[in-house]
Amino acid sequence: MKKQPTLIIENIRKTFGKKLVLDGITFDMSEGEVIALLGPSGCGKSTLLFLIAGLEKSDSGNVFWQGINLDGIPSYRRGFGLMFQDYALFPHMDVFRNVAFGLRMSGYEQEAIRIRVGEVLDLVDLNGFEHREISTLSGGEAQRVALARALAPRPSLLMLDEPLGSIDRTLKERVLTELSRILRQLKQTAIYVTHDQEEAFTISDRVVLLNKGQVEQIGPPQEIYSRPSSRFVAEFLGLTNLLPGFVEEISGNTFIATPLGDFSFVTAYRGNVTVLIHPEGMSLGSENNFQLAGKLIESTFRGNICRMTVKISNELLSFDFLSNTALPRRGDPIYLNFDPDRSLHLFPEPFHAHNQ
Amino acid sequence: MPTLVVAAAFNAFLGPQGWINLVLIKFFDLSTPPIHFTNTLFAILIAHVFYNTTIVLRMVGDFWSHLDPHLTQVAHTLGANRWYTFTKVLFPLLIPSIAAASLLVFIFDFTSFGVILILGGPRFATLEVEIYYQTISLFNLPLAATLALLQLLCTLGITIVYTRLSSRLTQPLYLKSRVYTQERLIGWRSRIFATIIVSFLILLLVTPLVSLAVRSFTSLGMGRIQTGDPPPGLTLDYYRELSINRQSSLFYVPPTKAIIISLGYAIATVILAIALGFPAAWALARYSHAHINRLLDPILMLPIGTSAVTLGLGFIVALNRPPLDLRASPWLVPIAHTLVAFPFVVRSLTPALRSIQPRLRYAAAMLGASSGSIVRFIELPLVGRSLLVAATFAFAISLGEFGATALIARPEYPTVPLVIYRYLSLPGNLNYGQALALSTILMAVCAVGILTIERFRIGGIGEF
Repeated sequence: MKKQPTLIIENIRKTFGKKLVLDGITFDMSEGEVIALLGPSGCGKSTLLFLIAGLEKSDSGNVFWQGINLDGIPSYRRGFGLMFQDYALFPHMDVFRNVAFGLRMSGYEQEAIRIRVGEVLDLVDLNGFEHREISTLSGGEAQRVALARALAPRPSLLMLDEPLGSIDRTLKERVLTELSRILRQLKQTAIYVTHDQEEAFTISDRVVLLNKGQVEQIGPPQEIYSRPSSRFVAEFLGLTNLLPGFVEEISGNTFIATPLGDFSFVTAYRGNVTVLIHPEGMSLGSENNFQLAGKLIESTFRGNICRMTVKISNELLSFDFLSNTALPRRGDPIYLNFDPDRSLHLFPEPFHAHNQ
Repeated sequence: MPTLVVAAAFNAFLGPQGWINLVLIKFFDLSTPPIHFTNTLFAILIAHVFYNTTIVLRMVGDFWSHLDPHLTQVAHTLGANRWYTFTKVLFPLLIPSIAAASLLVFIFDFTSFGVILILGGPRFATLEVEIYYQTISLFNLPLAATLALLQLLCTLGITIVYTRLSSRLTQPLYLKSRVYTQERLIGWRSRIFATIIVSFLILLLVTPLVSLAVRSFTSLGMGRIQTGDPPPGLTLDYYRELSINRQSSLFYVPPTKAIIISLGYAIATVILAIALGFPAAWALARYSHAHINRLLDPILMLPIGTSAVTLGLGFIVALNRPPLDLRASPWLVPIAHTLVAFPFVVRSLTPALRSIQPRLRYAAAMLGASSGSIVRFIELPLVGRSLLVAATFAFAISLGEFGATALIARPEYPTVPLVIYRYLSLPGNLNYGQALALSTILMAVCAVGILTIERFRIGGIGEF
């Protein structure tokens, strides 16, 4: 698995006027890897993508592709593919000519173009769409044409800028799996920009989480989700069960004091910390067997799970339970069990009621 | 339509020998024409209205049709009735476009020449006509130059205001004139609007033109003072007479030659204007945020504000000595026409180029297209329609251009409007008939030329 990185992003800085958009971005990726650039809007992720594509210029820092510094190489010589958020299909060409455009630009023979366009249209399941006009395509079809167009010249690096931004939720999941399948099948090195954690987790091998122009955390999806590196990451991922805590060592064992009680917990941190309780980290107990007792304030049904808002010692916390189990009703007492070492996660930052 | 044709058409409709007067004379047995149309303010006014209605219609109507229909729908759902929606929502949004159209019309009429020269007579000589007289008849170049400078300052000021206004106008358009939405937005609203206006326009526009054409085929046989005036009835004599040099005039030019000269000039103008206008529009659209463009925009528009006569005068003054002695060059006229047409070409191309999403260029670049290929495969085909419009503009302007041509064209190579003017300024029925005949021919040539350009297909525009 340890391969030579194919793309190296090194200390990239970029300002628009006085605004610092990217501040020392550094990461690398290996061949065949799919990386998701995840972050809230305005975090600079699209700018970073345009920089790699060569459509923007950085103020300082380097981008290396297979050992070559890309500085000064125009975008049309980089051999990368980019799928745009709004697809940017050429309105004056039909589907075939859109998909064939990159091939024409790289000087393919007429026949080779025909074959290759057929192949990629196959891949995105759009056979027979060759002569459809762009204006007659549905959102999902346009999205697949855009993907086919980006894939047709066999880009060494495929970049996707919020490609599912304008697709409705039900379709999204299917398209996402499909896209993921295509990328794996082609062993395509790809960077996927999104603000949606679900998309990022589904598609990527690793996630690069950006915030305010800086890298907040890099890691595989599971790791990012179960061990967010900061309170920002946790909140961005929708993990909101945050509490103040204090870690103490008593005769070789570490304990953490929280508003919910004191728990034995293995950690290297000491002193004031912020505690995260994962929403799925609780199991239902009973009157006679429980670690935490509270009152069920709110219960919202979300398909296969139920999200329960529970009040425990004046703290409002949310937990997810499978919907098909017998669940208490609103206003009822609720009894919970959990394994602190698995369900708790600490950030070495003192707790503030509201994130700055 | 060429100014001269319009002037001749109104003359044929309402002039002393025009249809209305002839009919009235016949019915009431009058000795003099009852309606004094020519040499009145009203004549000038109505001819200009004829011209500018279409401009206002195009500018305001175009803008209107690009307005988001949701705006009115929202207004309706909020309880506004039609009238209220119009006065409180639509009209305020239209104000900039109406203002811009008004300014443009003002600029045009301020520098209007041909119509006033023919319909106005000496009593209504404007600044423009005065410059012409000073130059041609009195050869008082210093006074003409002073007048021209005065006029230039006025129009420059108005032009700057106009460009400011119209750039504000393109701001919201920029958001909506995406190629995708464009066609959809032109809905029933604009169609109804169009039908009402069109029926009104037919009355105003078509009647004079038709009467021009019919009159040119009709002889009334009145006042056979002059030899060769054909007998009453339908006749082709006026056309026949065109190719006969009856007075063996030194400056006589057969109409076919004038038409060929005019067409040659027009084609040269189209090529020159597009060749110069496209790069200019491209630069304007591409670097629209650059400071230099704030300066460049009015400068590129300057020829629109500069009257044709001033332009001709400038040519005479500037190009009459080496190293640039072009007065005798056959290129002089097309170059002058190009200058007149240039702002129109730029004006029709810039918004189209601006409305191309930058992402389309990016997408092409990512697919391996160099800047040259982007222009060739993406930008040119996308603005193809506007390019045609621009070419049509240049063609029509060149064919009809009178003011500048009157000053700089060599007498042995006159354009059709010049010949028409010659006939119109000579007395007699025959000359009048010939002027009308030639006007009709010019009208036909214009129409044929415009239709031919429309037939051209550049790239994939046929698919729009």
